[in-house]
This record gives sequence, structure tokens and C-alpha cells, in this order.
Amino acid sequence: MTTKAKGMKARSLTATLAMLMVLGAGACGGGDAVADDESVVVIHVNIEAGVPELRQIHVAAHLGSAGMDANLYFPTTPQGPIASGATLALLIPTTRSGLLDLVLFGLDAGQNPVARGNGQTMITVGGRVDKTISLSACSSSGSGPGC
Amino acid sequence: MKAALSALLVCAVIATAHAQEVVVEPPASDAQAKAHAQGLLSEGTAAYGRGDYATALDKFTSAYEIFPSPKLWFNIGQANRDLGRPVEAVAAFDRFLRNAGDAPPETLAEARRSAAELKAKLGQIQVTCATDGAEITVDGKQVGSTPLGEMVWTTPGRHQVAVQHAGFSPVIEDVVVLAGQASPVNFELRPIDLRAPNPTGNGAMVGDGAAASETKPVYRHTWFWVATGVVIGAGIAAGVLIATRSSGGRLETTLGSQRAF
Repeated sequence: MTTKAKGMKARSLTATLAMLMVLGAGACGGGDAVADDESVVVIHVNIEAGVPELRQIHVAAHLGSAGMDANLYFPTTPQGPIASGATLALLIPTTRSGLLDLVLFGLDAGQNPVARGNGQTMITVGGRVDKTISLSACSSSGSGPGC
Repeated sequence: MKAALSALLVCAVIATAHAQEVVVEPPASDAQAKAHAQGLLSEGTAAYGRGDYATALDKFTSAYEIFPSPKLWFNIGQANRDLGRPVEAVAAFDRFLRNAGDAPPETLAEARRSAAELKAKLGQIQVTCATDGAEITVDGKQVGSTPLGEMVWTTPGRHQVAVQHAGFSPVIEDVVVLAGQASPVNFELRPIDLRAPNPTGNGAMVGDGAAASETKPVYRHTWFWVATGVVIGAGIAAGVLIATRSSGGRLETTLGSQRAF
């Protein structure tokens, strides 16, 4: 076997092993890590008929017990169209508890709000709570929510 | 035509209780575009007078796109201000003040007053980064690239600042902004090293050149298989540990997860 052939074999073997490790890691649990001292609020985004194509979700969260607000954008920069049923998660320190007010804005490619929905949920301290929020198209005529 | 337009604009001004109109008057090479923009300006002014600020903003913005008179930034600033979009309003008023120095003195004064009032309720983010040319976003909106010459106006509260540059790992920071104050945030981007590691440790690249011919292939070293076994074993153990944690440990979401509060 020539030196070149040996080198190619070694590279292909290394690549195969790397792929196996990646696949193994994936099988063992992908996704985002949650720390032990965090509560999780998973929001299922239901997009109603008539809503224009969404590229980003703006989550305005208000935690009344702490008098705190958070404005988060999912994904962090506008990307491909968001399908109904998309999910996102808020990771909240376990030092926070109480009722969480949520207002979701669906943003178009120009990051203009074109859809809106809201909801409330109690934080399950140290655990996970799932909340479905429906986004309906914004309307200035009064037939839908304003943005 | 010009007289008709002027009459229309005068009517629009009368109908507007508190909006000051600025007539588009830059040198025009395309009279048709100018006329179209004037029409949109009049429609926007009428909408503003009705309190329909969203439509007014849309008309003013369309007018600017057709005929980019810097004086339109005053109208755009007013509409944004009354829509409760102070950051956009400040940007528009600042742009007007920078570029429309020949506007009427009372309009310039009104823009300065509005900008000052709005700025008193806002804060600023000062972004610094040793890596030039990195793209900066605040709450998902692009605000420029490094080095950023000026601070970013924003509403008080928590904001998400992200900096990304090709070849570097992106960095996201949460910044708490207080009214009337500047919040500095410094980013250190770390380059992503895409070069393959040199497992032989003796300077020879496996499979390339004469030096490699004097060394055994990497997979014939015992340490390679031991290390591979350890890595795979550790990966599986970590996966099992994570999977058996009561909290689940990992979240599967389509849009990701972010920390709040």
C-alpha cells in the first residue's frame, strides 16, 4: 500500500469514527441543555389561517411577581418561514416563580409585527410547563388584534 | 399641476391638528416620481390628521422610497413617535437633523425638541468588539457593524445583543438598559479553527508528503483506539445520564430556547 493510499485510508477511518461519535451524541440527546437551576416554559406556536409568512417570533414576557420584563426573539435573526406548531422555550431561573404573562408577535421578513397572540401560565419551579399560544393576523380595521 | 399639489398640501396641513408637514423639495430629475411622492405625502399627512399613524407611516415611507427627500424623515419621525416607537422616531429625527439643514427653523426646532423628549425616556447600548467588521444585532434587528461609531438608542429593559462574524463563534449577551444611561457591552469573538488537528504530534500531516511516510498511520497507534473508545464511552455515558435525569435535561424545540429574567 502506498503512503498516499495509507493516508487516505486513515482519513476515511477517522472521518467514519467522527461521524459515529456525532451520531452517538445525537442519539444520546440533542437539543438545548437545561441547567438544574432552571424552570422551563415551552411555548407551542399555533399560526392561524390568514397570517402572513412569519420569519421570527418576538416574545414579550412579563413576570408580575418580580416586576420584570423580557424581550426575546426566536430565532435570534430572521430565518426561513416558521410553520404552525413550532416550539420555543424560555429558561427561567428557579429563583423566579409566579404568573407569567406572554405576548407573542409574529414578525415578517422585514421584522414588522404581522401577527399577535397572548397567554398566561404559572411557572413550574424546577420543572416544565407547556403552553400553546395562537397567533392571529394583526388588523388595523378592528377585525383582529392590533400590533 | 404644481399649484394643485400645493393646494392639496395646504388642505392637508389645515386638516392636521399637530403634525407639521415638510414639503419634499430636493432637486428632482424625475418629475413623475416627485409628483407621486408628493401625493403619498399628502395622503400620509391626511392619515396622520385622522390619527391613523400606521397608514401615515406607510405613506411617508413609501414616499421616501420613491423620492428620498431627507425632509421626509421629520414626518416619519412624527408617525413613529405617535405609534409609540420611540427608538425608530429618534433615529428618524436624528437623520432629519443631520441631512435636512435647509428645512424651516421651526421644523428643525420641533425635531430637536421631540428627539430630546424621546431620548430622555430611552437608554443607550455601547457595543465594543476588538474584531472589526462583525455584524451587530439588537433584539434581532441589525444596527451596524464593528467598530460601531455611535451608541444604540433603545428602550429601558433587558435587550439581547448579538455579534457575529464569518469564521468566529457568534456571541449573544443580555444587556439591561436604564433610561438616560448608557450600558456598555464588550464582545470578544473567538475564531473557529477549522484546521484538522495533527494527531501525530511531530509536525507530520498524515498521508501528505515524505514526512508522513516515516510514521505509522494514525489508526495503527494503540492510543488512537484507546482514545476513541474513551470518547465514545463517555458520550454514551453522558447521553444515558442526561436521558435518565428527571427534568429531561434537554429540550427539543424548533425555534430554540433562551434564558429570561
